[in-house]
Amino acid sequence: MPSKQSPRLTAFYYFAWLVAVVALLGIFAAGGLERPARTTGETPAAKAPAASAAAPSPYMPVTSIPPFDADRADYILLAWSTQGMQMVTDAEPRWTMLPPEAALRAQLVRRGPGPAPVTEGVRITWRVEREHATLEGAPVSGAAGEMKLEQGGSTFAADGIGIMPYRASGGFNAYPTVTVEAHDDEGRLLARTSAVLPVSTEVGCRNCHGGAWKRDGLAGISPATADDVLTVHDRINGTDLVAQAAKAPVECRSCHSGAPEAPAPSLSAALHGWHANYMTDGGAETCASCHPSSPQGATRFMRGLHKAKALDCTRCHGAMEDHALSLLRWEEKAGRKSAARLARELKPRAVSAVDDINPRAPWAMEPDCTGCHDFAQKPATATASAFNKWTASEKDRFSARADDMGNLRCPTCHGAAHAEYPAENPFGRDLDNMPPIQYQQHAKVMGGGNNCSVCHREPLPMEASAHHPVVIRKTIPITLPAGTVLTKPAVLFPHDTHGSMDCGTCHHKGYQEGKQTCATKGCHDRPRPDTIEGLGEVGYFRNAFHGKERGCMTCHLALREKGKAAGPVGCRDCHTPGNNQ
Amino acid sequence: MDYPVWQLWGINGGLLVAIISVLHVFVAQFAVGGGFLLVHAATRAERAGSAEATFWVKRFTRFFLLLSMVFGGVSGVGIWVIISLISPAATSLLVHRFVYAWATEWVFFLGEIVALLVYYYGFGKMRFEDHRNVGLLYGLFAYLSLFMINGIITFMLTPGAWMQTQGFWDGFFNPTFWPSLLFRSALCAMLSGLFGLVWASLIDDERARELMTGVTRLWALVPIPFMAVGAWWYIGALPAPQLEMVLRRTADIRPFLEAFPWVLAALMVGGLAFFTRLPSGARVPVAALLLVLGLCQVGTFEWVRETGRRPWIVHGVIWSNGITPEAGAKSDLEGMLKVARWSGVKQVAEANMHEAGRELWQVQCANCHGLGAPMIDILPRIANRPLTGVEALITGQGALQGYMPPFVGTPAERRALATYLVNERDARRH
Repeated sequence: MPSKQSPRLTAFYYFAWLVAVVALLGIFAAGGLERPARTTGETPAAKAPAASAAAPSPYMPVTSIPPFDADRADYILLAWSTQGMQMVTDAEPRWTMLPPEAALRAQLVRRGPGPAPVTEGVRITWRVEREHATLEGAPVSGAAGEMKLEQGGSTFAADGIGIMPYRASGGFNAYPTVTVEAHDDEGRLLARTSAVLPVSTEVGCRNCHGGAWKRDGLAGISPATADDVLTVHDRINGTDLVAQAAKAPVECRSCHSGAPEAPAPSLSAALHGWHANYMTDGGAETCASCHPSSPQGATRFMRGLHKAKALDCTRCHGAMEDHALSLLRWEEKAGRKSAARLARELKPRAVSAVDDINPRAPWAMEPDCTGCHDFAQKPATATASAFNKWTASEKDRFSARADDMGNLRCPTCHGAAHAEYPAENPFGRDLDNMPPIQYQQHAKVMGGGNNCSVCHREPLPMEASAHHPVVIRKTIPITLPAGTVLTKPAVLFPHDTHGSMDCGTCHHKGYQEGKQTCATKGCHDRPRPDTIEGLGEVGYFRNAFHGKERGCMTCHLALREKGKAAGPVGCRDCHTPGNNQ
Repeated sequence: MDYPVWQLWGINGGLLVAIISVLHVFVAQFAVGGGFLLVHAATRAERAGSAEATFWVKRFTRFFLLLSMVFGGVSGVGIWVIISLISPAATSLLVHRFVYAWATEWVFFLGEIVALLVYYYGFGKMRFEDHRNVGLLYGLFAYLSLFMINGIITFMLTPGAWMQTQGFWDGFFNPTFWPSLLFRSALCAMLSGLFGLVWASLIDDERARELMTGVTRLWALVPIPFMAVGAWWYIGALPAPQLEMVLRRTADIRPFLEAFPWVLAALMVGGLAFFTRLPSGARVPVAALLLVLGLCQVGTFEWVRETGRRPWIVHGVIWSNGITPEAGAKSDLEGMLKVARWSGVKQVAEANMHEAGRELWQVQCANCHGLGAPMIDILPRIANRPLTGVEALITGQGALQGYMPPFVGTPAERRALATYLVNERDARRH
């Protein structure tokens, strides 16, 4: 039966009830048990111009190598970037992940018997090439500065250089040069050298996240790409980064700092761990989807000796899955459960079980050079791998390690990682080789190719190196036809390193022990051509090595063309000064 | 993969299944609770000597007759038709594993129909006790139908020990059988009460109206605490993967989702408690609103169940696109186009990327996704993604966001599917 209660009270009660019901249904409808996919309305990716191998950056750097007087100079100055390529994400104002923080190192060596690094009474300065852009607000935002002596060492350092891969007048240049000078207390110039400070914004987020390149169709993270990254992050992780970015750039490291107390995995672990699930079964091209290493890209940062040996990223860092697992396992060890989730579906490639992958702290534990280079024998190019052989700590990394005497850092003589001497820079062959070219006119490791005198001012036997044991290739002299006049140093041929080849490839007329050489009568026995036309004749001794049909250069150049381990292709690589001694 | 794909345009199979199933399930659950409610209402009317109330119960019974027997029967067959067309492999699996359960359920349904017909046409023509007993039989048969179906539906979510034993009873009385039965029983009773409340509010005769309102209000109110217990038990019975899926997909709306059932229940209790104090004119809209709230409860429960089951039709046995992990593994090695018996394209080549992609789409995706059409339209999800990005999405599906089955097939097939999707998307832009 209807109640006797006041109708007004009932009406009030039901009005309140009705409001609550409508509010709840509103939330039910709008709050959506399913969050709809959000799009950003960005530029269609299809319209974005892509960098092309056939049309490299039109902004090739022009460089000049400082002079060096081997007879009179008392010092040599060597400089390098701690990273072979500094990857910068210029996604601001949306987010900040990898700001420009180039780091330069230099060592000044007093030449002479018993050379030694100089640490006192000198002032080392650096200056970026004119008109190159640096970022305002970076720790070092100017184009020049002074380097500071690292504590307890002999290396001078400049950190946090806000250099960008852009010219002030516009245009992309991933290899700006920096001039480094050493002065004494009186201001007298002791030495000057040049090096590149590699930096690139060719970060391929757009390859999946859409959007165009930000600069010149070559590099940079456009707002459309940057927005999509945040949108996806929000959708997956329930964050509100898009809203945050509307107020101020999102600092990726504010959560992904890598610190023990950080709420999320380190940047490296999170990025590789997440994306590895979406990029399985690939090789080095997978790395190039994000990093500026694509052979068709505007940067092409893999340019060192390892590239000439046809070693790609995966040889040291592992395939994407393995690389990610090594980083995630470190996070798991640190107790971050989210890392286990990222790792759960990843299948290791180089090893059979996940547990066989050694955990690795990003940036501190890098692939260890000694994983392949044991200083007893040359690594086997076909199989050498530093994956899973991580440095124990930061000071063991290639960029921080010193020689056996504790005097010289590895990159001082070998160049920066990924640009080890001799490097071949796609935008100027010897851009990365400026110090060795300057001091020994040979793009080779400092002192290599019998160049000990660059520092020691006297020839010394390579096998007696105190820096570290040097693996000397076993070589044989090449028999010359009588009457040959050498215009270049003689070649000592590393016969053993060609052991995997079929003998008939070179000894095409058959080989009888001790009886037949290149210069055997009837073969390549003419020391010089008799006529101009004779320059191309196979009988001319030189053509056994440089001829078009068969010979060292034909084979080496063809290998290089195919991107395979090519061995030496430059004149001095074979005609090494000192070979005649 | 052993069956041809029914290619649809403008609507996807999943949506068709959803539409028919939701309608049928709603009606069926309403009917299950209704059997006992009718008997209760008729008994109250008889005791009160209210001919108007008895007349209302008879009219209400006719409504049940049309709804549960005609619409329920037709839509039930409709479910069988649509699932065997859309998910033939899964349907086959369920038929093969539970053929006697289905047969039993059909016997119960037959009993339900016969009892309902006798009950309706027996008003005023049978002794009251006999008539009541027929009504109870109707309610019992309807409830037993639920009992049988509950075993099969819960098996799909939590096969439990069946995965090891393949035993019928292990599958039937699986880990969520009893909590689900409790929840659904309460839900059925509540829904019939809520529906009856709307219906009773329309009675002209005041005495009969108040009488029937009282009965139906009771049926709407009493089951609510049982539902709460059932829901709590049900969530607790979910194995870790299913629970994780529910929790992960609700991570960003967790507080809302956790509060929702309780707030909803509280609102319903509040509304029902004071219902009889309302003037009669205001009751119908309020009752209708209460019914909507009840449907929200149903929606939440079914959503949790469906979400927990992803990405499977039968958890651990057959993915939501009808592909088994065994067929998937074979496809990874040999290529899905080759393994799929009815595919018109057997191998991916440069010249047939689009056609191959279409076949892959039909077999693996079209079950759940629309292409420029409802539901779960794929186009907004790949908007602005370059080919590499679309391929990456396919590569990673099911890995981290576990609600999708993994792509099965070779890398070339993956590329073909991505190419097809990008082509279709771009063609619609122009």
